[in-house]
Amino acid sequence: MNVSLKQTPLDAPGVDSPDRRKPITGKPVAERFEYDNLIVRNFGVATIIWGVVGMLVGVLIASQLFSPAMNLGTQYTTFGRIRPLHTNAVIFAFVGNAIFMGVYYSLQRLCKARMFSDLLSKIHFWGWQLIIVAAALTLPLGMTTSKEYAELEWPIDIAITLIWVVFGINMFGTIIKRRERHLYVAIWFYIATFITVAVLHLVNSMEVPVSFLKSYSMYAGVQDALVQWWYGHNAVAFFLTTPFLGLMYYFLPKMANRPVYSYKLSILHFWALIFIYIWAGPHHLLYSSLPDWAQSLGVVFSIMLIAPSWGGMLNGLLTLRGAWDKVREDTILKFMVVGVTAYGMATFEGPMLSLKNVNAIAHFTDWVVSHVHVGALGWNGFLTFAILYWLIPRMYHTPLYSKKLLNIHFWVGTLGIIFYAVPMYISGFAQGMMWKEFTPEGVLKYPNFLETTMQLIPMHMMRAFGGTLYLAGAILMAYNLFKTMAAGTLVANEPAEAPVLAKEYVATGHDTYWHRWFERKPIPLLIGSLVMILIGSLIELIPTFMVASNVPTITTVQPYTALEVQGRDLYIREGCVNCHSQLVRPFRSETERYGEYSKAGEFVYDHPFLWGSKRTGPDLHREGGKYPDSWHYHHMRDPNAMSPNSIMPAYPWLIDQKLDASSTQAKLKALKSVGVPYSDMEIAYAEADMDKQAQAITDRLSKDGIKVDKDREIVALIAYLQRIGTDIKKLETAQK
Amino acid sequence: MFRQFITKIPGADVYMVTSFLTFLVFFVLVGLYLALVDRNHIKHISRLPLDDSND
Repeated sequence: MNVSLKQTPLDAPGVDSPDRRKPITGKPVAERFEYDNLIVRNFGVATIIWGVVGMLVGVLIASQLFSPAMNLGTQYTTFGRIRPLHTNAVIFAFVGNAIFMGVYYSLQRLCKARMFSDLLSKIHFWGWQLIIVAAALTLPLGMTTSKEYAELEWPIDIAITLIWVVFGINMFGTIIKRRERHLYVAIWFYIATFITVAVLHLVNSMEVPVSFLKSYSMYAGVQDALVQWWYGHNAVAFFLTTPFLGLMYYFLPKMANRPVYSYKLSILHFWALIFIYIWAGPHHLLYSSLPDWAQSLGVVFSIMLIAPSWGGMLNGLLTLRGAWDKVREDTILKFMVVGVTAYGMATFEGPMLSLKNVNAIAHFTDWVVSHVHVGALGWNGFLTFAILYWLIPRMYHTPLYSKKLLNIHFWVGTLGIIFYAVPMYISGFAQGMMWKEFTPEGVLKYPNFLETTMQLIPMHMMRAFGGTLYLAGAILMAYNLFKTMAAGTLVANEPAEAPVLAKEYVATGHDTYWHRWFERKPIPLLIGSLVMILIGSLIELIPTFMVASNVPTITTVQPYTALEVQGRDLYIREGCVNCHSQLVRPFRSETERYGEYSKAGEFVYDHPFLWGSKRTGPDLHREGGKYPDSWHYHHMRDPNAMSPNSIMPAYPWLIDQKLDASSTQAKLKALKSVGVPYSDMEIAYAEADMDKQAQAITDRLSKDGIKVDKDREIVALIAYLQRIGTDIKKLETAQK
Repeated sequence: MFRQFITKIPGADVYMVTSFLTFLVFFVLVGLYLALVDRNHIKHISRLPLDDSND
């Protein structure tokens, strides 16, 4: 790759100064300056590399779901540990870098100004890459908060906050020093993204540290679930959607060489989208222990969400009205069309999935996985590919290395999406129906959960094939783009010229004062966006925290013992929550299969909540006391020994590894600080209590012929597994 | 359904309805603005991505 730093004497990079102003006859004074393409290129290269890495991990975990050998026999590569690596890599590394690439390119041009600070750009770039590396190291090591898409531990959370602020300063600095008076709608989307992601990240990451890489969520049970899915849903909204809508509004008109179909529609759907999106989070928790009113709110707003989402999708597609001949010729536009169409499909399906009757079948199944991937592979992936293919040749002043490879990528990628999504829809629907099916005699047709898993294996194989196709396309793109970079020379500082903004602005035409005032000022836009998202957030979150009746207490529910806390942390470390839910929904099909449905009051000491969002294996909320300790021992050592053909990986290291008991008191103290009522005595004698409970478990194991030291991790895990969901049974016993 | 969730929290009806109304009023105002805004002005802004002579 070549980089040209060649400058004309007037064009030193970075700083604009008045002495470079050049009068142009009859026009306002013009300034020469340069766009920073180097930072755009860097984010672009990071997008390509992390994209391939994230997709590769995706193919690996997909293959683990039909071939347990693909867990590779080490504790660092089991599905539970690297599934979060895949999601974090594609969301924050691939899509995140793509957002920054697109924003840094378009913002400079829409503002007619270089980025505010080259130093902040560099800090942003390298800081973000370090965060990604930290994630790639900590997640396979089992250092996780277990909260989906927010798994990173507290020091990394702080780093994310700092780097996000750097991004914000750089973005607002650029907007403030701009030479274009009006803020194009893409910038509105960037501003909303910045402020909302900041709020989401701060609120959801409230945790109390135990040690350098271990913390507990400050929220428990139902509250934790609500905050998490308020975050999780809006991470989709404000990390995967709004920035990409901004990118669509900039790059699609550029690519098609025509303005957006309706600018008015873009404004209307911007405000509607950011207001409505924030309310829809509870649709992830339908039929859960979340209060009914919150679930209903989530459904209502999810349905309303179709309107602004489709407003954006139609605005994108109609921008190509009269230019469809270009789509036939231009593969980059084909990527955009498939991407925007996938957005339309996913945003129609999302509200449908939030209908309670549909959700009853789809939730916890592959259906949701398919839904997510239509959005991720189609909308985020294809838009990113299109932008990369469009940007790199322009910044390197050279044609794309191979149009043939570009075309192959498009078709391989499209086939990849189809081979991914269709089997997953079939699998999800089949799975949901099998879980619910009763025989005419009134018993479950598939009482053994594993039987339903086995039926899905062919679909999982096809999904892995689809993912491999998609990955192959991305590798082709990487080759094509790196060859393009090698053939050209990066114009690191691209000369540009724009008139200086007059200090006093006199409104002309028929526009209202208020419009011009609002639309020219970034800070009111930021505040307006903040108000829009806070209305929904506060109304959903505050009552669940403030009104005691929302979480009825159950007298028999007690805090976990010291050993159970340690066992629970092992459950979190191994990522069990990625395949097992702990939430029995109030359906006959579930109470028949698992037992009593889950109550909100059962989770009051769960920091964090572990309800899960996918059942690759069965629900575990009534697991406690279901099997003897020896069953769990054998099952963890070799799942096939107890459940033939199980696809669960083996966890033999739990039997060999010694439990780190030194952290016990610190853990109980941390939990006490967030409201778990441990007494000082319980904390002081934690290790002795732990020892006593562990001894009882090893004695029981010994009776079944199993010799294991009481200080091994497996003992703590068994203690926790045997405790899950049992407190409510004491109540039943007492009532009898 | 509506009755169910507004009766379960004391006073919830007030702020939930208020928030709906806030959105409705805001939405109507944005709609009104869009109906009244100068067409040439909108045309100018919508062409901003295309004004970049560097491409």
